Amino acid sequence: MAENKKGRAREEPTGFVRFVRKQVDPLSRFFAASPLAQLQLKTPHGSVTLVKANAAVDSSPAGSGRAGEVAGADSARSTGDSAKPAARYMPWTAAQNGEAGRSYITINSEVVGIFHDASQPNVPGAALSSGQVLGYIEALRLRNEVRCPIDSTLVAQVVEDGQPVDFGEALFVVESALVSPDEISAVTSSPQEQAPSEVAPVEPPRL
Amino acid sequence: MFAKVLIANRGEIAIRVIRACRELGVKTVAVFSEADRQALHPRFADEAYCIGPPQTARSYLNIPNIISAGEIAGVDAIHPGYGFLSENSQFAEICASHGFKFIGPTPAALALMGDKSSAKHRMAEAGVPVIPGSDIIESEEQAKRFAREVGFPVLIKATAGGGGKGMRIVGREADLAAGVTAASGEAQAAFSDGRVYIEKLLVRPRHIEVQVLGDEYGHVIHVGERDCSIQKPGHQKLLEETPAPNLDPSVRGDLLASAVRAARAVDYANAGTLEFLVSEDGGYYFMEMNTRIQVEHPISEVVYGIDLVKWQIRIAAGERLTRRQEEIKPYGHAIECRINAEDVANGFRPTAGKLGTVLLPGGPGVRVDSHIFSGAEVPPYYDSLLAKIIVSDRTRGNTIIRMRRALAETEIQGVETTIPVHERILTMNSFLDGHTYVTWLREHVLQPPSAVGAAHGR
Repeated sequence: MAENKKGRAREEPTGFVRFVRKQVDPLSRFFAASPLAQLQLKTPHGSVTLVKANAAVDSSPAGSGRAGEVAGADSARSTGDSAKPAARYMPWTAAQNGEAGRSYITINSEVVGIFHDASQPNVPGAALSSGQVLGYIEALRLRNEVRCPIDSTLVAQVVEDGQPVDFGEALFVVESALVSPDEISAVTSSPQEQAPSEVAPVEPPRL
Repeated sequence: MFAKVLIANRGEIAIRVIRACRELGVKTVAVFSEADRQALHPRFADEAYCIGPPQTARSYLNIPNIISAGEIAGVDAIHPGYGFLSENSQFAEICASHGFKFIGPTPAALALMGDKSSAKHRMAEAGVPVIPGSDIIESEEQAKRFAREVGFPVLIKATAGGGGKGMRIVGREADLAAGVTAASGEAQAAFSDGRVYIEKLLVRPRHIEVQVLGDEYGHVIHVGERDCSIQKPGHQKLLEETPAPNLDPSVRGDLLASAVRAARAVDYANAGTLEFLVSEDGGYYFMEMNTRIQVEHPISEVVYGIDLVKWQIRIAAGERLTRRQEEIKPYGHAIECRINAEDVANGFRPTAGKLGTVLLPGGPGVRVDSHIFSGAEVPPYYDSLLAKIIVSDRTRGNTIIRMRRALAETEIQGVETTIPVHERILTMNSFLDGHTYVTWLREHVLQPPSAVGAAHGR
């Protein structure tokens, strides 16, 4: 997969971080484009249940091992309209917490650069506030701040200090009160903090 | 030689450059937008970085993200392909200031030739015949004055342009202001530069261009001419061939010599193409110079036995161009058909979507430069080129027969393609006799004068 082809060697991350980075984010895109209403993924490192916001929630307890386990990719092949791209920030209703009305939000990189931790370490379970700086991406000797979009709790930091990241790469997963997809896109399209394109437009003549 | 090169492009040209790098033992780095995550070029490359969302301006024109990817990957050089940033002198300068060799001419040559209006002045100084043209249009009065001087029809062109964008034909003075506004708007959108100028429009000329190649030590050669007269209504090329059929040998000789003289006059290095219009009486006029590798480069490679893209990389790495002009001789004939995802019946409207089965031709004398495969997505954000089918044989007649065979083998399900219009062109007597010109396609294939009898290929 193109997302994983980076040149730099780096230390192996913890099992759960690997799980989130490698499985949850690509899985969410696949799930969003598929006709499935619910998908449960279990690994030794943790499990996630994905449920579409408009679908009825499976009321059986988490860990029951039903409803579309991803063992066989064929059973979950997308037959949906592939012309419609999946929303980038797709809120999920998590059955894992045992609380209805919660969302998982992935914060993705908007620039290509090297990720650096914020001065305060980010601890899973920590409370985060909207606008809080979670880290920085250094690109062309400029620091781009990665800000938390919404009052939430940190689920995982997916990237490590010094790791190269590209556009769309998952950086953090946070968990918050349930929000609609529109609220998420509004909140997470932060203004571009990178240097503007260096091709200056020329004014056309006015006739 | 470079250790690692970043290809700042996508589609078939990214594949082409990756192939050249592979053969030179150079590692490759691809950049891709989110719409191209499943495309072939990130798959082919040794490393790949996502640089933005689907929109061109935020991805393939996103200079900060591209340069940043180059830094992270530790590349030595950047190949810009064609289109996008390939003729952007600011990008070339930014590459240099970050320690990346830009695989192409110098920023000065890009700036000079990229400004179509100043390029013409420079060529005229070098003794190359040019089409009468105006300075950058700054007022309606100026436009009218020039058009009256050279006579209608006139052609409005974007100075930063290429690929047929930002061009308008104006047949009479009443339409002049509207034409300038329209061309300027299109140019602003496509090249971030809305400046236009006006040229005298020649009637039924042929578009004949010359491939040049120069190293950084002053050795410049030509690699033959290409006939690109078969163009869609927007001046975009559809089918190209070399050698140009029915071209008077003395005109051909003059064209080739002029091109080399022009390239030397501007100290040109790396690959480039000088485009000329050749009128019916054999007069030829410089139109513009493209300071990059071109879409139709394969036909020259095949007929002249020279790998232009590998030479681009070698020249940029400081090697001497060891081919001498006397060695450059055409062997046989070649034709290229551009297979675009376009609906010919509806004005070549671009179509997009997921491809079904894709069967590309093969066999003797067939070369396919393409990035598509069965099940590939054709995104709506970029140009519509799907595949270039390049066919060669010892004679033009045999080449045409071979191209018909290759097109008949080709199947691309899921989008409309230009295959039917190519099949039609290859039956037209005026094409078979080698008598095409730049408006030929529109006049004889798309809107034949009489519907009755049109089916029999005039």
